[in-house]
Amino acid sequence: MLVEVKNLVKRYKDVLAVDNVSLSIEEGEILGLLGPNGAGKTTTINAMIGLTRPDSGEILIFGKNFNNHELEIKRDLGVVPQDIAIFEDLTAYENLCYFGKLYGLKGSLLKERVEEALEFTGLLDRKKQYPKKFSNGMKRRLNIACALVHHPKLIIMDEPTVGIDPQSRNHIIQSIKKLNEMGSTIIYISHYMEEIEEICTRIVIMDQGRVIAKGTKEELKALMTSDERVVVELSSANYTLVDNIKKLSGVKDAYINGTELTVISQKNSKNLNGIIAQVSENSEIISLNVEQPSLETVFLTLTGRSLRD
Amino acid sequence: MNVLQIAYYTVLRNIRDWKLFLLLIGAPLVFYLIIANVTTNVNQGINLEKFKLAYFDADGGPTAQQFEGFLQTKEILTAFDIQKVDSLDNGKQMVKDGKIEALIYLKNDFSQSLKQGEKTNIEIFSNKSISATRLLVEGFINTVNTSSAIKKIAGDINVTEVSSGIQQIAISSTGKTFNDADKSAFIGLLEMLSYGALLGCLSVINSMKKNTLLRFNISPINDLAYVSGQFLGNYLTLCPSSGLFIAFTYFIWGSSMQGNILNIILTFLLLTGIITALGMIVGYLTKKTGLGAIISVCLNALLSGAAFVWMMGTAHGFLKWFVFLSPQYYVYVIVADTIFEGFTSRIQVSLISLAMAVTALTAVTLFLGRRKAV
Ligand SMILES: Nc1ncnc2c1ncn2[C@@H]1O[C@H](COP(=O)(O)OP(=O)(O)O)[C@@H](O)[C@H]1O
Ligand SMILES: [Mg+2]
Repeated sequence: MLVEVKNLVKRYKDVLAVDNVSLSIEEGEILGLLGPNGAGKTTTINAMIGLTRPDSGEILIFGKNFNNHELEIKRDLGVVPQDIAIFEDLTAYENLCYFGKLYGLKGSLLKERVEEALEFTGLLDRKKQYPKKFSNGMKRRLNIACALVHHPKLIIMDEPTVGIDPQSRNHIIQSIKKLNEMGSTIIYISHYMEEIEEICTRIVIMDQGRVIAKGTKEELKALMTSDERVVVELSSANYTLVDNIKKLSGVKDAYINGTELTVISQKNSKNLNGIIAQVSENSEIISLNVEQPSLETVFLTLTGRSLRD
Repeated sequence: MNVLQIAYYTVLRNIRDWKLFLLLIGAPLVFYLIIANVTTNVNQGINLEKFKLAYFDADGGPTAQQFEGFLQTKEILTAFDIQKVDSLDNGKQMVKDGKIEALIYLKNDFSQSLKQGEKTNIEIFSNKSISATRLLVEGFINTVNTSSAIKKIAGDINVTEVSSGIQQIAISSTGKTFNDADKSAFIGLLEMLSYGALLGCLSVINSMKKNTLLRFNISPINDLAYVSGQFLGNYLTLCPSSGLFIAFTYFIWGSSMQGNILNIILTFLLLTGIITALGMIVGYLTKKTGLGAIISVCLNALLSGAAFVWMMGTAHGFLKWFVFLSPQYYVYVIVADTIFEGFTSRIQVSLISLAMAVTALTAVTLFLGRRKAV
């Protein structure tokens, strides 16, 4: 167990920012921490990296306690803060050198690591430039590079892709996968469920300071109500069609709304062929959509609210 | 090792903030050049109209004659147009009519009193208190003071007011000292140097506001190392301005220092530390750029101002007490005493005061910095 958080509580005056959160991370994982703004994600990791003192709870990182082993823990920790934390008046190269030196790197090793981090984040040809002139995406990438120079065992990334262009986002997502393949354990915080779904091996969903669900992607989806939903847009529709479809195996309900037919079946009823056969007898299929449960629907189901509110 | 690294990057960032840096280095440099130029002009009497002066010697004794002789030397005559008058009333009338700028009056027991070791006065009458007039008369008196003729005067050089039309000039007390122009220039320079407090203040506030502070908090460095590095960095950034000041002081008064330049260097190194610490403390306490800047400037104006009114001999009440908290006051005392062969003990006491201030303020800075950094 690389990280273990037990019954963490943090209160800001009358806001219970983190309410009895427990989670754990195994070596080699990418753990996704998903939740809407204000869910308490940042507060949770701030407590883990020693930036805020929790009101109660226990945190073990690398099996060690922060009180007695602060420097040892810090040495192997890489953090990508939610707000971009780079010096605009130092070049990309100088930024990385400065932060690398804080971890005791020097000489040729420092140089090597800095070049590597720049290469990794695709900033090598910009190393002499000041971040003032960078796009937001490039700043975000430099922000990530700063956390990588000292080759940390555990990398914590707090919303590293907020407010950037799709290309930079893609670059970042790919590099996180690569980092993980190279052996880093990663905690990835986001309120974009697509990202979390794409890269994380395990997911913790937080809302209003509490962990409301955790598990692998599949486990979480299994939490869903066991319904599958098929929506078919037709050239024309009639009500006998609805009756016929209701007779198909596994179908719980079917209704028509204009030219749009919705069929609700039990999970894994494998009746899509039957539905298509019925529908195409009488009219033409314009579009067909099978809705699988996503983390969005998981969240919706668990909280009754959408993630993006 | 970390301290030096942090200091290095602090200096780098301070210098890259080129507007502030220019203000800290460029402004004093320009100011120094102007002052140096003016001071040289005054000394050589170039571009100045000759100063019309009369004297009445009611004494006629040996010292008075020596003094008269002194008035006729080439150096004096290049800057002064000197005439002798035959009565005090005539002289005063000439001052009133504006024919001369000032009248110097040697009383009839002038030489005699000196000989007997009693106090005596040289009296000066003038209509004007504008600085040029005062300066030249005062500079003149100072020159006279340094000459052997007057050196034995035990008493003050007083200014006596006789007629209501004639304004009295206050002339400084005990012989050798800066003249007013030099005092103003000196305090101006000191004040400019003290504005360096802005650097520490802004630098600290800047780094407290920056997200980058988080990176220091999560990295395996000691917070004392972080704050010390910042202090050292800000200190080093201010050193060029202090260097300029030392160079200036040496250029203008170096010949009178008798090799005591080390005193001056030490003084400015200490002052730089005080300024750095004061700025950083204000930064830590205010945490706001605008407020921090205003307080730094006001604090500096107050401390320099206290030193200035003390120098001019016009400090009263609160300020008279306050001056002992003013580092600029101690710097002035050290520089003045070094140049004009003042008391060594007073130089030492002042140096110790400055050293104590640096120690205390640095300790407070590190303490506050450690608390605010986390
Ligand atoms: N320093 C703070 N002071 C007061 N309230 C805070 C502070 N930091 C966070 N909070 C509150 O705690 C809650 C959780 O915030 P945060 O952990 O930043 O959420 P997330 O990162 O999931 O968006 C929010 O309601 C926020 O307003
Ligand atoms: Mg957050």
